[in-house]
Amino acid sequence: MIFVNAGKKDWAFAYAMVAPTVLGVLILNIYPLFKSCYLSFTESKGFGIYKWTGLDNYVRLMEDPEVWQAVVNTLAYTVLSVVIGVFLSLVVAVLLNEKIRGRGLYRTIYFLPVVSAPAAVAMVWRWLYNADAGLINYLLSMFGIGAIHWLTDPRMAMISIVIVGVWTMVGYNMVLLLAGLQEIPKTFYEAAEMDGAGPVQKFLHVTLPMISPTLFFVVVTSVIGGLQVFDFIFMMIEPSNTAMASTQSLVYLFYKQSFLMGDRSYGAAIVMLLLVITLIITAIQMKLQKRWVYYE
Amino acid sequence: MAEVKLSHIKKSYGDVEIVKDFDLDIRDKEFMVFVGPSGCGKSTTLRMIAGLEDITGGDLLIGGRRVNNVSPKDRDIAMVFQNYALYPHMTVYENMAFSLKLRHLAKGEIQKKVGEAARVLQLESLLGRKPKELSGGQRQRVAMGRALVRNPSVFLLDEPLSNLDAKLRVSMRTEIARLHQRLQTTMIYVTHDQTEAMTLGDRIVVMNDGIIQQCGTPMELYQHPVNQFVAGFIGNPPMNFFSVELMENEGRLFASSESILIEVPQQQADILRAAGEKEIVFGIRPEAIHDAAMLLSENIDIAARGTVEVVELLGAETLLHVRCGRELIVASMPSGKSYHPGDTIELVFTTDRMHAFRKADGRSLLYGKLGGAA
Repeated sequence: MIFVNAGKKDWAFAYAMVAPTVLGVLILNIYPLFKSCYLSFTESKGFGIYKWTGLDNYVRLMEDPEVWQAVVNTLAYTVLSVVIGVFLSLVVAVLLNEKIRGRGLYRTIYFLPVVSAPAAVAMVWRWLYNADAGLINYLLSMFGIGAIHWLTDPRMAMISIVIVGVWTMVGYNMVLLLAGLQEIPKTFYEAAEMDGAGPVQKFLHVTLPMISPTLFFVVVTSVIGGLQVFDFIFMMIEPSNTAMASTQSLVYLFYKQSFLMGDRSYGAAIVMLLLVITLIITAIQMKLQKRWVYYE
Repeated sequence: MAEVKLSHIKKSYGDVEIVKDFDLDIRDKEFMVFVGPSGCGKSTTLRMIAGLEDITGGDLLIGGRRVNNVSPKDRDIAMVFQNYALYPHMTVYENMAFSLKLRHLAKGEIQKKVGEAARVLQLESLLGRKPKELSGGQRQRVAMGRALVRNPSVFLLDEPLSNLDAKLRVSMRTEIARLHQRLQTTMIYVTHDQTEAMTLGDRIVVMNDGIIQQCGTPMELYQHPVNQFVAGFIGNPPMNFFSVELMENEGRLFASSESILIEVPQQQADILRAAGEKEIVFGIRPEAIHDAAMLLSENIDIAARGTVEVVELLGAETLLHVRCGRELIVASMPSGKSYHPGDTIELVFTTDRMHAFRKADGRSLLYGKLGGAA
């Protein structure tokens, strides 16, 4: 509205101000998206030469059991990390929203994993998970529990990765939820108290509905983050690890195909599959939000 | 229905005293309004009655029962909040029924109570809607309904109309007055709007700095304010105040400043002489000031001469802001004559309706000493 009567100079200034962001999005997001889509319909011949092959990559992808195992792994990681991570984030946020001693210190401690380098985090967790000399197994041995192969047992590796994922996720989501909790007017709790509601009813009928828009944002971003899981698998599970098949995600498979095996076209098709899965899940979430997200 | 007794109630946060020695008896079925500027302690007092704030000192009795340590839900009260505080995920019906469900009332009884409240508040067609689908006025009615279904002994209303636009506020004000007449329940209403206080209250408590300045009927407060604060707070537009000197001349008492000269009526003059003050704050309401040119009598005393600075046309009346030397006088004139900025005007005061306040502490020198005063 400010620019209704603006002259050409004002428009030029406005465009100049938004240009860096628009260019960034175009070059770093939009162009790679279309380029990947194009590559997924080609065959890489090396030296930057690509030959149009139509749907060949997608036919191969449909018949590739490794891809479908990666889809299952990705969805399993996403479901587990989002359900556990968001639940824990909410619990921690609610607790740290109370007036408790050392609240600021606890908030800092929970947020620390967010600002820690993923590589460093992975290295520390690798040591913690070490079957022979790891701290976790050492502590378990004190209770007579034998060594668990956290990262090499195909049944345990996914859970181990999820634990690390949740550990890094809780701090960030906690901050978002804490901000949402602090936005809830005190009068809602007071009205509930006058109605005779106890702590559980207050949580169910005031906290949850009032925080639902923030919770929705947290769930959507966590799901997208979960579907893109790569770094912890890359750094904690070696390619020769027997648990690789049961932990390999779609993004890891894309990396393997594109950069280890040099088949960038097939890698692009895997990325397109991930994009479609992400869009479908996000669309479902957007549709379902009407049932549980309440905007004032 | 119950009377509410606040006996020497105090509220402190550390060393800061928010409410000081609040002593008040609210009668059964009375509509009591707490009014005052922001931070005067009116909402804190209401919240102490509700049980949402601890009471630092004194006794609170509702229906003869001391409730200082009784939880809000067990005080037999209901409260309407400024921001309505409706549960966003519940329908209007569910919002109204919630407290009854928590009390484990039978479904049929809940339906009956909610239906009755919805009928009284004309919410029947909205029972299936969620709060976000309602207008501000409708939400406010639902908040009232939520309180109503509980059939409480005392209704507490904390600035319930502040979030509404001006027109809706006026219509909701009428609805609240009608509701009180219908229910005949004790209501305690907090507002910073003196018009709401004047139009709704059987009695009004004016508060400032955590202290009751005055408690009385709207007309008592309007006609006989106990101090300069109450005189300035009650009434719209507010009372005019001038710092004046009192002078004797041939047995008559005059109040004068650089630009104003008023002869004090005999009865008031005797009281002021007895008070022994030489300098006072003279107060006069805008409607007690007249345009000399509009008066038929020739034997009139001009109190002030000045220039019209601002003209506010309000329909039934016209407000004039008249510059008289250093003083800016607001006068309310009947509509009919047109005024323009820059017009010179001679003002006459109805001095029988004058107020006089001690300069040192603002206390009224006439309060309780003239006929009709409390």
